[in-house]
Amino acid sequence: MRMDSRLRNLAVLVVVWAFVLGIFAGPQPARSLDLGGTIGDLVKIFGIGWVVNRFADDIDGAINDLLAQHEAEIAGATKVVPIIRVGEGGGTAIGAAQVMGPSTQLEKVQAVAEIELSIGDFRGRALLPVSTKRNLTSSVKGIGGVGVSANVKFPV
Amino acid sequence: MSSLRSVLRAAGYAALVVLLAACAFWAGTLVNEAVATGPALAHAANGSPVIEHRANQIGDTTVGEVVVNDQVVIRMRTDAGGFTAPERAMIIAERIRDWTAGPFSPYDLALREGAYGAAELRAHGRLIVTVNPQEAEALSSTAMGLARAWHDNMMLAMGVARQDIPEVAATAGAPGEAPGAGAAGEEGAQEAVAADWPPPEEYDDKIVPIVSVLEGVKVGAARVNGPKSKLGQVAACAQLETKFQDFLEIDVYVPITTNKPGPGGLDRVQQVGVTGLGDIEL
Repeated sequence: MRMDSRLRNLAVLVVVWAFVLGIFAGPQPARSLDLGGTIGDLVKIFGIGWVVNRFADDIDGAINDLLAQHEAEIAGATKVVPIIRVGEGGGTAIGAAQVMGPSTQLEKVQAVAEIELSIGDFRGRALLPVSTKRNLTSSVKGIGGVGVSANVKFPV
Repeated sequence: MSSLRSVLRAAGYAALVVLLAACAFWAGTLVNEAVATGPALAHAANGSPVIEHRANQIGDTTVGEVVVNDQVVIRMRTDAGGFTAPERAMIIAERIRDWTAGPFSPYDLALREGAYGAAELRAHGRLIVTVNPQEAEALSSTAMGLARAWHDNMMLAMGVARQDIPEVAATAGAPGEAPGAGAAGEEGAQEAVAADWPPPEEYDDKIVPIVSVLEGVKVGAARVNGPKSKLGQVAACAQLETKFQDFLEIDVYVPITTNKPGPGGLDRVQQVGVTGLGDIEL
């Protein structure tokens, strides 16, 4: 009985180990991810925030490659962070943005806060790079020296 | 008889475990393919890269470009040492050819501090390019920041995935401190610049049309923010459109010096970024 218990534990261990091995040793594309449309499924399952976090570097690279093709590279640091609408949903991401700026300032950026904006005839939305994803209010302060360079839209 | 039965039982049990392990491994590979959590494949250089150089016109400036595998990796904007920018590009291309003629790896590239504030990009200890402060200043960057950008460009063009590019030591000043568009705030509620970051010069806002590069028409308005000296150069925001994995729609905004972006390169105004999007009667 005692032996059976040990064998069962060993079997479980082997199966779990094989699963983990499969995750880390399986084939993987070298340059980019070819998910064949599964990003939409991942958004439905895990949400926009998770997808932005998971694919931030790939999206950032794709944007920078596009800029290089048009000879309009950003001569400095960039990264992709979630866009969070202020006053709705308690920090739920609604999209993503590529932000650019001095590397020391860019490191502080965790998200872009979207706020209704009205300046003169201008009606739209302000996009403020901010240092937190939570408790965003209309009095949130932007990170100095950092601006948005691309807007990533999730058609869901 | 009893021992034979126990042996058979043990063998069956072992076979079941092996089968379950195989299924678990297969399931793991499926998860890996779906979310790519495994390690990146090691880079393998397939022969020598194709190195070219050429002159190009960006706005009123004649630049020299170094092209590796059809990708512009270095763009010289200034003359130096009695050589024009295109001539400098030719010399750099020749150095890269020399380096890649023998056994090489993109990981040979390294950054070094140079004299008088310059930065050097070297491979196997041999000089590829010296980035002087004037060259970096033309892009509103630092010498080390620009050298690092060129380092990354070359590695990408030689087949290294962006996530596999190592963090290179930048020992001369803050690397990559080129652009920095201040995040100006909302009317009455927001404040523009965080107190702990003294901007090198005063920042300001401006509202400009967004012009689609694809269609050549105004598609909206953008509030852009940046140093006053740079902001005065911005006439419009060019909008490039692309898709990621055939799902995500991406609008890329490039502050430019004209409101009619033509064919060829976009004349980006560095250090200026977007802090608002909307509609306006222009």
